[in-house]
Amino acid sequence: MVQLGHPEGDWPSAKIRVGEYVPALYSHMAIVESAGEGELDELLAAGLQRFTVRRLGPTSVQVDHQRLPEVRKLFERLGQTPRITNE
Amino acid sequence: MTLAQTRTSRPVAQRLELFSSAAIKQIATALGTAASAPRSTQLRQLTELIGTQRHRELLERELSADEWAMLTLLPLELAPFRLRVFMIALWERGLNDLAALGCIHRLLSFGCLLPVQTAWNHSKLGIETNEVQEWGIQAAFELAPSVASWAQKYFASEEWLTPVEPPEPASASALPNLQRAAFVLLGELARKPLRVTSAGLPNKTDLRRLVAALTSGGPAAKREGAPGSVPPLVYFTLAVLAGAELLRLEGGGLRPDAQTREFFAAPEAQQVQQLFIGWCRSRFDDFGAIPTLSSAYIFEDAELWMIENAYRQPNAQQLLTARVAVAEALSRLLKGRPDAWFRIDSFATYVYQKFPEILFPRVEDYAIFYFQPGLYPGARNPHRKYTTVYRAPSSGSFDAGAGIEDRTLYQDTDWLEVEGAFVRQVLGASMRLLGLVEVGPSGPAPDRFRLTAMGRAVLLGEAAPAPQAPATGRTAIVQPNFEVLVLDAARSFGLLGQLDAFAERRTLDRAATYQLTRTALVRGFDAGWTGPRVIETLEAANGAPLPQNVRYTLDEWIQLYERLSLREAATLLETDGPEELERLLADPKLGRLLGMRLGPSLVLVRSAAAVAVAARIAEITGEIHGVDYSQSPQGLMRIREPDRIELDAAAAEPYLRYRLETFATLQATAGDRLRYQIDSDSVSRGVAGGASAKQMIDLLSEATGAALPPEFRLRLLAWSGAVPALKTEALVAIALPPEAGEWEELRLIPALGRYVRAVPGPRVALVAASEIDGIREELLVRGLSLSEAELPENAFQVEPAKSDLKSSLLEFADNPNAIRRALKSLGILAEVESPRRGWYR
Repeated sequence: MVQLGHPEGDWPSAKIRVGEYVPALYSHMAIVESAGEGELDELLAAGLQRFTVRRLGPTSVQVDHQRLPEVRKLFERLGQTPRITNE
Repeated sequence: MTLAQTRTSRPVAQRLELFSSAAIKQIATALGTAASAPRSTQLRQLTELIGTQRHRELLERELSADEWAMLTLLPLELAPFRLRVFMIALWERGLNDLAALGCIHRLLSFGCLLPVQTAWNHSKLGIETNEVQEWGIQAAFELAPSVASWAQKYFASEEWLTPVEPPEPASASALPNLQRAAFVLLGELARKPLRVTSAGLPNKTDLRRLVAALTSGGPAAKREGAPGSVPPLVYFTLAVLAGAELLRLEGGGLRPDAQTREFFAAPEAQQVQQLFIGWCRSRFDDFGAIPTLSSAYIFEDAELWMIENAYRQPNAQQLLTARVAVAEALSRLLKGRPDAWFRIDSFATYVYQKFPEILFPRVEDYAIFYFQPGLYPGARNPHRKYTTVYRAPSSGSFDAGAGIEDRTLYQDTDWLEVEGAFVRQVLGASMRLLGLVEVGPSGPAPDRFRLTAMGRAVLLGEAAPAPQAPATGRTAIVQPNFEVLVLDAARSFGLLGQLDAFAERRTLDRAATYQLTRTALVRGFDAGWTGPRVIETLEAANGAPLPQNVRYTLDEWIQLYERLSLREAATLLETDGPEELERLLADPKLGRLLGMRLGPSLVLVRSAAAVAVAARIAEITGEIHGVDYSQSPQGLMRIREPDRIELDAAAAEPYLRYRLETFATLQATAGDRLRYQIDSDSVSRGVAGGASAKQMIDLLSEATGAALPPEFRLRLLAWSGAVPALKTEALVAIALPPEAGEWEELRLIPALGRYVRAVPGPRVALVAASEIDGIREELLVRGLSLSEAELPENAFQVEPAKSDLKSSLLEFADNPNAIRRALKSLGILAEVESPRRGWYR
């Protein structure tokens, strides 16, 4: 069983069945989204891969939320000015 | 600010209730209503009469001109007042106590004054003169409705103010200075708030930062703490902004309120109205700013910022009342004749006559009603000193001993230097900064003033001056070099506020210059601006399409921003597959809480809706797995010596596995566990990927909930390269027999001590192998020979230090058994003896 606090209130208790996937709700996750698949591939090849946890979809990846300063610095080096949000 | 705002809204009937029955009867008699009727009838009839045209006609028949003049005193319209305002004014006109009380009695009898608060020990107020003497100090009154406006008929402003020649030259309104200061300071405080001390004063270091920003017209990040005094304009602007609630105290600091953007976008007359009200309420010390006066209250730290509730005269509340009184006097005197120039001293005389106690009391409370004149000589001394204020010394610093007689001021002869100076200061500095008046001639001692068009709008209620349209038809010029030139900054603070959001401000003077940069544009987007809105704002200010190169570049920057996003704290729902996600999306309650779909089984959730989503999914599916990345994983792993990590499969969410797999290799999945192993290659890989040994140890320690086992920790540290190569050296141990004493004594002999590298036990010393012959010779000299042998096991045994023994004895002082065990553990006692009887008290 995993119970995690949340600033908006307590999560409902959740039971994890071993060996069987259940819906999972991740909060405070860091995600990079690009407008196109090719652009994301280019970014990964240019250094984003180093911070990537997993690919979420054709145009989005989960990145290491503990290394966000490095991710921002990489974008700066690549001349990218992404929309940065807290959501 | 209209004076009506300060009135209470209690109806006449409620206020009449505070009079005694005898008083009601007297009022009814004076006003010609049924004096013999029951009280309730009398009250109803009086309520219906007071404030009506019939009441006015009756007053016009009965009251003398002097009595009407009493009803035009300034404090009567500022707030509930006490009767001392009449007594002081009547004494000033030479009336004795009885005559003054008689005048008050008549005003009460004719229903001109209505109580809002009775006095201690008086549930009802009588109005006979002896009764007035009893409660006169405490009870508070307001004028009856309409009486103030009727009284104005008996008042000719020309008696007080006659127009004079315009000055040459005049000092025009300084409103642009205040607007610029407000704009710069609000911008700087949005970047970093102004800390406020526990005494309620602005932090000096922060003030200097604001001074630097004001001097340069831009952010002051690099110039914090610059020396120098704080100009009055900084205090004035901060106090006015705080009074106008454009600055708010939050978390120990003053920071801009959210409404500041609307403020700068509002018409100028509305801005000035808000700043004027802010000034009236402000903590700015107008009195302290008078250059010709010194105060006995020395608040070096306070400068021109009033400390609330501080004991001083005039205090913050008195200054607030005084400011409103001056504004009210202006509106009374200049209505209908606003465009002429008038002498400041004539206006000050009016203010003083209508409000002698505007700043300082003339007499103590107790001397007003309670004592007969002359009983306590000095209680009503007209030649009374200002006890807290003096003429400023020529040197500029206050020194009570330097020519104090010459600098002493008296209330009957010198009020024009004190109250008059206050009026002069308010007109020449504060109201001029607010754009309400202009004064002249320019210089340190202007002697005349007039209202500006803005002053007429704010104080007299005239139409606001029309904003001046720019001569060129455009408020700004966007140049091909990406510079934006705002031609008349003082009239374009709304635009400047917008440009501040998405461009870099370079200068701010009469004109302002901004530079369009990608960084600033992104900052604007992050604050909620959109590309089309930026272009629209710039084109509207430019009065024409943007230069082609600027437009192309802006479009490119906008596109770059919109094509890539970094969500730093997103909430994401992941399902077992697309079908399950479809099923959840089809749920009417859940569907509207979910956001954009990122993949077949992944969908974004608004953070605010996360709890509701989790609850609904739990309802639908019966289970949900919550992972909050802002918290460390705990108790999900176990370490197996020497190099293995076991992770609960149920907790093996992607990020944890990603972190683990940066420096460990998945070996197998056994039952409900994933088994990882670290080796030199996997740990080196982690280090190459940017993970340090500390980060690896921290992750494992948190996830296991315990310190790492020594073997595992050692391997991790060593393989990560965090431990340099170990150093070795061959040393020889020399054991002393008990008869020869201990090495700590022998090493004091210089010839022996220089060879000793360490003394690990009392009878064992370590010597470098290369120096063994040297110490052998020195020992031989002293009759001791060396023979090579294997040392016994206890040769290195360390005897307990005295400090250890002492601390053990202190710790267990009341527990003999514990002492025995401690002695045994220290090797002092071989066996734990049984306690003897009688040890315990």
